[in-house]
Amino acid sequence: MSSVSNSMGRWCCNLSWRAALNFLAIFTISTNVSAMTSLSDEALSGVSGAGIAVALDDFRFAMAPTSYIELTGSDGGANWQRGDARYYGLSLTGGGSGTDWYGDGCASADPLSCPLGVGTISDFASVYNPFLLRVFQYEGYDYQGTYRNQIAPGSANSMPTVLELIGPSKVPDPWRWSFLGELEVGRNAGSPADVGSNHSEATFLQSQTIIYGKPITADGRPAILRLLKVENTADPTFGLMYQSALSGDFRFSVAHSTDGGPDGLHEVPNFDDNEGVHFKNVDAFLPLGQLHYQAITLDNVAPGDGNFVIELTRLPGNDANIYNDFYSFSSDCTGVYSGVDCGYKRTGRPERYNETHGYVYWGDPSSNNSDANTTDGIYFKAPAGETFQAYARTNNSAPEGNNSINYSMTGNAFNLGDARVEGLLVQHLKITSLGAN
Amino acid sequence: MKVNAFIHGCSISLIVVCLFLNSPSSKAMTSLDDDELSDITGQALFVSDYVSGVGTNDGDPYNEFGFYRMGLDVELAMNANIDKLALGCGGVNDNLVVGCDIDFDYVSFMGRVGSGPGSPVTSDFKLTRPFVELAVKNDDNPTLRQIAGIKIGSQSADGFVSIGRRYQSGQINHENGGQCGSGSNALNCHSGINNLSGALGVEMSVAVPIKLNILFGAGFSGIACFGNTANTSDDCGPSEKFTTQVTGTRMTAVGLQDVDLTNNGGLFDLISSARADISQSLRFIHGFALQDTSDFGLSFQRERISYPNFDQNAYTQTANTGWWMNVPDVKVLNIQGEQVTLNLLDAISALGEGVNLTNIELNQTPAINCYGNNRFC
Repeated sequence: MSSVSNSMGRWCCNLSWRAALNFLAIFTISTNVSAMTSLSDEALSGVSGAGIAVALDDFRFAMAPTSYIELTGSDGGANWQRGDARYYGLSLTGGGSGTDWYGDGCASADPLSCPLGVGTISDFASVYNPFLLRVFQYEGYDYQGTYRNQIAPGSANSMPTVLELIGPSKVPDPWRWSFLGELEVGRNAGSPADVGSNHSEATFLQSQTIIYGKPITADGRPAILRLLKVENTADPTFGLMYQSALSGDFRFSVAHSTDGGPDGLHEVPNFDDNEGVHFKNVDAFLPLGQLHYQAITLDNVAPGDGNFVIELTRLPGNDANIYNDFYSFSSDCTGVYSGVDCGYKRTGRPERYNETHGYVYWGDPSSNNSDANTTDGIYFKAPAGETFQAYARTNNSAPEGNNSINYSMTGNAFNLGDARVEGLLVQHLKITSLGAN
Repeated sequence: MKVNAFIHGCSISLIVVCLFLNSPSSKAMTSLDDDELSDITGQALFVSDYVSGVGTNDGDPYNEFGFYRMGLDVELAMNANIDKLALGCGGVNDNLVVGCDIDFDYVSFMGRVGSGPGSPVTSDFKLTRPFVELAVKNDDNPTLRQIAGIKIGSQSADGFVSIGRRYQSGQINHENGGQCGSGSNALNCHSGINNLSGALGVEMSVAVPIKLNILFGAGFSGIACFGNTANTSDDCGPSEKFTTQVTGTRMTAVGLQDVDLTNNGGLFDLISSARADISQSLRFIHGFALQDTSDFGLSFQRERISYPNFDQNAYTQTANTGWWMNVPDVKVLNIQGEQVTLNLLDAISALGEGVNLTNIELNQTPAINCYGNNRFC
C-alpha cells in the first residue's frame, strides 16, 4: 500500500497545459430533464459509440524533489529486513534542456542526462489521439467456448460489455518520466534514521531513474486498461485486463556529481550526468488477459488471514476454440511443422498472434553493437574519467585438452549487446501475498 | 463475490480502505507526521536487505560491492512459454565469441513432478519472494559510487524449465541446419540451448552401452556409467552421485574430462580404470528441474561480480561481464546414451587418456506445455 506525503508544502505539483483540459465528450443528448437511472448490463451493451475523450496539449507534471510517494515495508522473515522505498520528484516533462533535482541546469542533448525538462509535452494526448474512456463490445470466445458476436443483448452469444481506457496511439514527441529513488534497508521503527544521516551510517541508496520514451509500442499500439465482468459462469467476478505498451530509452544511475551536494537520507543529491546502466531502443508489449476467456482477478487467501491473491486466470482447456485462438498458429503448417509441431513455425503467423503473445526488445536486434556502442542496446557507463574492466572467459571443453579462451578490456563504457524476449505467452500468473497478516 | 471477499480481507493490505471499513466509531481524521508515518510497517509487501562484500578478505576480489536486495513478500506462480529468449547479443562479449550470452529457442516455465515436468498448462513454476539485487561499486563514496550489476533472483525457485525442439530422423533442423540422423548427425535432431553463460551446478547420471570388439566382430558388451542412475542393469546407483560445475560465457557445450566410468560385462570388467572425456552440446539438453532451490538467478553486469547467495553465508560463482544465469541445482539424470562401439585400441585408450564421448544421443525430449498435445505454442 502506498502512502502519499501530501501535506502543505510537501506536495508541489506543476500542472500546465495550453488548452487546459479539453473534454470532447459525446453524450446522448437529452431533450428532457429526468432523473438518472442505472443501466443493466444488457442496456449498457446497447449503447454504442459513447465515451469520453480527454485531450491534453502542452502538458507538464512535476513534483517537488522533496515530495515523495512511499512504499512502507515489512520485515519478511529470515534473511530479510524491512524495506522502505520512496519515489521523490516524480515528473513527466518534455524534451530539450532542463535541470536536475539539485537545481543544476543541463543543456545536454542527451535527455537521459537530464531528468527534468523545462518544456512541456506539446502533444501529450492530442485531439486526434486522446485518452479515450468508453464502453465497448468485442467479439470473442468466452470461458465456456461460446463465440460471442451478437450486438443485440439477451442471447447466449451477445458480446459482453467492457469499460476501457485507451491511451494515445500517436505520440509525436517522447515523454520524459523521471524520479529520484531512495531505498532504505532495515529501518527500525523505534529509532528511524535521522534526516541527513550519512550514507555509511544508515543503509540506504539513492538512485536516479529516467525514461525518455512513449507509452506506445514502436509500431503504435497503445496501452489499454479494461474493466469487465469475468465471462466464466462458474466465477462471474470482477476482472481487469491490461495491455502494457512502452518504447524508448531508460537510464538508472547512483553516482553523485563532483560538484557537491549532500549524501544524506531524505536530502536531494546532485547526480552525475553520465554514470549508470542505459537501455536504448526498448520496445515492449505485454498483454495480460484476453477477451473473453482470461482476466486479472482479485481474491483473498482461503483462511482469510489478510493475505490476498492477484491472478491472471489460467487459460481454459475445455474448448479447442479457446486455446487455438490463444495460440494462433501459422496457417501454413506442413512438413516438419505439420500437426502438433505447428507451434514451432515462426512465419505466416496470423495478426492475432501479436495480440496474445508479448515481447520485449532491449535494443534493435537488426544491429550488431560494437563493444563501446552508446546508441543501442544495454550499456554501462562510469563517471567521466573513471574506468572499469570488462572480462569474460569461456570453456567449450573439447574432449581433448582445455579449450578455454578469455578477453579483458578496460574503458569508460561497454555495451552488453541487445536482448529480446519474443513470443511471450502467459497461460497463468498468480501472485499471492505472504506477509499481509 | 470474490471482490467483496478481497476487500474484506485486506485489513492489512489496504490500510486506507480499512480505516474506514473497520473503524468501530466515527472519529475525526488526524494527520500523521513523518515520525508517525515511519512507524507504520507491513503495508507494502516490500522487503529488502543489504550485504556488504567490502573488506571480507576472503580471497575473492569480485565481491567488493555493496549489494542492495529489494524483494516482494509474495509467491509468484506462473505458466508461460517464450518463443525466443536471446540476451546479450553482440556487444563487448563478441571479443570472446560472436553471438549471444544466452540464446534459447522454445522455452517453457511450468511445474514439476520430481525432477521431470509437471502437467501441461495446469502446473506452475514458482518463485518465493522474488527480488532484484543491485551490485554497487564504491558504495561509501558518492562521487565514485557506480551501478555495476543487476541480478534477478528469489528466496526459492521451484519448477521445470523446458527448452527446445526435437526432430525426427530425416527431418531438416530449421533452427540450426543439418539433417537429423544417428551417430554424428544426432546433434541435428536437436534445437534449444544455442548459447549459455552462467554457472550451472549439475547433477548428472549417464549410462552408455559399450560394445568392445576384440577380433572380427567377437567381443564383449557391458554398460559404462557414472552418477546416480535409475537403471538397474548398470552398476551405478545412489552411492555414485556425480555433480560438477559448468561455468563460462557463451558456452555451447558441457565438457567433462576424465570422468571415471563404472562398468560391467565380461572382459570390460578388466578395464578397472576406464575414464571418459565427454563433450556434449547443450542442444541435447531439453530441460531441468529446480527443486526448491534458493540461488536460481539471472543477472547482467559490466564486470566480474560474485553475488552473495540468498543465505548470505557464501558468494556464488563469479559472473563474467554480460548476462549470466546462476542455476545451482540442475538435474540431468538417467540419460541413456546410444551404444558406443570400441575397438581394442579404444579400450587401451580408455585405460590411458580416456574414451572420447562426443554428442551422444541423450534421448531427452522437450516437455509439452500446451493444450491439444501441441508441442509448442
